[in-house]
Amino acid sequence: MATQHEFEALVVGAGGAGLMAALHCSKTVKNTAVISKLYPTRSHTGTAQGGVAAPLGNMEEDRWDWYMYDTVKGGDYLVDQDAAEVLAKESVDAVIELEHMGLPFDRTPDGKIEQRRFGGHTRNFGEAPVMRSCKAADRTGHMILQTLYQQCIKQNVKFFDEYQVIDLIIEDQVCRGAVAVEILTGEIHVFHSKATLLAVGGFGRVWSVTSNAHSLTGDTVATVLRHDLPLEDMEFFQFHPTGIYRMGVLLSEALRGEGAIFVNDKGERFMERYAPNMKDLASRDVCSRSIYLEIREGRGIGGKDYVHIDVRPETINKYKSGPGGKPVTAEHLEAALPDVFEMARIYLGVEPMKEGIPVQPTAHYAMGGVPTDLDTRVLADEQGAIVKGLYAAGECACVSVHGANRLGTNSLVDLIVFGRRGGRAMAEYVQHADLAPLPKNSEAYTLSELERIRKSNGQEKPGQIRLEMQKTMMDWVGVFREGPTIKQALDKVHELQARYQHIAIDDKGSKFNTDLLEAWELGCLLDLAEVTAYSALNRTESRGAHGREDFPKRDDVNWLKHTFAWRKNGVLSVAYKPVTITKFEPKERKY
Amino acid sequence: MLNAMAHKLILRVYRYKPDREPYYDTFPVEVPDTANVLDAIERAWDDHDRTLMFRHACHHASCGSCGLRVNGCEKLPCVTPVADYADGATLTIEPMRNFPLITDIAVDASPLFERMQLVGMPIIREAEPLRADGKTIFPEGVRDFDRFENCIECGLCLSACPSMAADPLYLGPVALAAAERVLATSSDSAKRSRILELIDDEHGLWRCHSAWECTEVCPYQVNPAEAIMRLKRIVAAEKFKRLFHR
Repeated sequence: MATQHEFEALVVGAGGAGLMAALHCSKTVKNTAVISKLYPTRSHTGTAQGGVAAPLGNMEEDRWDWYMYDTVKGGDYLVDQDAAEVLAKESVDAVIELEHMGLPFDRTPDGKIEQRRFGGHTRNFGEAPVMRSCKAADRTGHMILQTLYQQCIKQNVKFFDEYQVIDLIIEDQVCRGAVAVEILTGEIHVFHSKATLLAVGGFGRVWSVTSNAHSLTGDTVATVLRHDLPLEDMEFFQFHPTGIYRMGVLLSEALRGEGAIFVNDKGERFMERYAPNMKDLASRDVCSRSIYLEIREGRGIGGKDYVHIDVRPETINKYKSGPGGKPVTAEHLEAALPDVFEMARIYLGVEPMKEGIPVQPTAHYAMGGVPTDLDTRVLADEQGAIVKGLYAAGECACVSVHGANRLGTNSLVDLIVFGRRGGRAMAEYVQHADLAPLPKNSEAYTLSELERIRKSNGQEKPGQIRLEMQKTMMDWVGVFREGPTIKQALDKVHELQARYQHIAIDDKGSKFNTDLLEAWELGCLLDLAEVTAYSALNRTESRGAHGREDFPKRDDVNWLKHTFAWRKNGVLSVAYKPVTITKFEPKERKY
Repeated sequence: MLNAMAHKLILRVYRYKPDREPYYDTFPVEVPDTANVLDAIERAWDDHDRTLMFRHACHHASCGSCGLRVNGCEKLPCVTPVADYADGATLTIEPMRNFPLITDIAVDASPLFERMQLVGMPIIREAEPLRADGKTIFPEGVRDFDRFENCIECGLCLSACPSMAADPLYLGPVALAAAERVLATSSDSAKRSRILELIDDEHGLWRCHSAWECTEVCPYQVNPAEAIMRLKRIVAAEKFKRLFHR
């Protein structure tokens, strides 16, 4: 038996994108609800450290078209330029909106929002680093999340906390709501709505070394795929260069914004060789690949698989790598990066003021996801057909502003800019849309999925399958990949999917059954791993985060296009959609 | 720290299901000595008993989901190194106190969130005080509140508070610290008097006996105890004023 709810607008996920969408939708739509598998302020947006970009020009001259150029170039020209233009222009207004809601940004002495440098953000089309990232120390995401949640409560947005969405109700290409399980009780709830926006975040848990929370399992992204809808550009997953060695927990890029540099076993600042101009502030894909190359050449620290990030003031001052080449002090660094230093001390027992911090690339961010148009409406194919009433924003979506590689700070910009556009688009839509009727037994699929897992009594352990998947993807579909090993990974994932049919779980109850729900999430992760490997196998070039050793060059003649991948009845297929190019013709990317 | 050694622990974990008496389960686990207590709990879950229920998400002290007690002390297990405990040690893992227990070591955190709503959830101040020319001026001392903005709502302060244990209706450290922000930064008189009424109550401010446990366990140095001390002075001053302006 399922409990029924009816809302004009429904948001799945309560991170930055979901809350921004709910907030803006609720300004005109009184009946707006948010479903979240975590309590809202526990969402992963809260862990974003570095900042949110906007060309405010508070510190030095800056322009939206410089920012747009950086985003397009950072994405290795796979970015849809109409989307990048929206991002660059609307970031200014969105950041000021957050400021007016009370977000405690850091300030310059004369009271303006203070800005700092970040990888890939430049002045005058790549000339030199620019101070563009607005921040609240290194807790920017936490402040955004708290600010938006507070506003949503004020607007009487209805929250369903710790409800996990298992299915979307889509029929005749119209979304009619979602089906969720209340984690605490195990009860099934059917949410009937005119418009549903997905803001469920990423799926870094596909890989073994990841910065992503335990909860980032791409549940609803996999659900979209299971409704025979495509996912876009899944081969592009960002590996962030400064994951804490072996743990994957992220040290913010703000480190390098403040002047920290990468150092190999010989004490060399090796980024000078790979990115002579931007050096340690080159884009993340470039830095991650450079680290792997150093490790491969035996120049990892002690010959191992990590390098150091050196944030000691004497190092920064020696290389004049601080902002504007100016000297920095230990006091300033401590104030600017409190969380980063705390993490180095707690997790590694390393004193960052005295020694290098061991780092290695960590699976961090999905550039790909559920394809949408500029108003966050979900696309049903590469031709531009729309799934009515279904929207997606934030990391789970692909609009595509990040192309083949996202720039630092652009995730938070994406959340607030496209979250807001999504909220407004839903508000507009529900005004004249009818509530499409619910199909009979809309909860049937959810019930049978959960029952199947509960009753399954094979020999396989979900934990073992998860470990094998994560290792396979890390080794074979990571920073570097090549045809034969991607094929091996795909075969392995297929084997794991077959074994997944024979799992057994220990907990047969219904209340707070994390054993059951995590086993279900594993099925989602496997589907996403499969589509990722398949999309990667098909793209025979290297671009941004997709580094093929057997095809080391970017190939604009054949591959200036987005992948749309389907999995219908277990059969994978792809189609391609041309990249939208408006202002910046693709050229070779140099940092 | 970079050459991890195996670290053995015995986890003695509090178990509770609504239909039976609570008991303790014992799980031997082995983790690298670079691991945290949360990793050890996950090992117990994965290797021994997947019916064990606990909350966790970010694994690096950002989300505030995983608070519990290790050997009687409130901890975020995601940032509590196993190396803090000897190889072979027994760790008693129990749920936070002063919250309704759901099952095992998972508690219902709603008392915390309800209290925050009572004081208007002022983790973020209402608006940055912008002047017409777009520049910002801050009220005197507003920077003192920055630390409170770091609150991740983990609930450790409520669990550790002895007054909370004595009075389940007590507002508790985090909400009182939040109330202090409102009184110190807001000039909205209706709001101020509503907050004053709320805290100047037998379940409010005066329940605090300055045990400072809340400040002791806070993973973000928010220091609720000091905020409550300031609050006591504010309320006393307000009363004094009213006495003479009757």
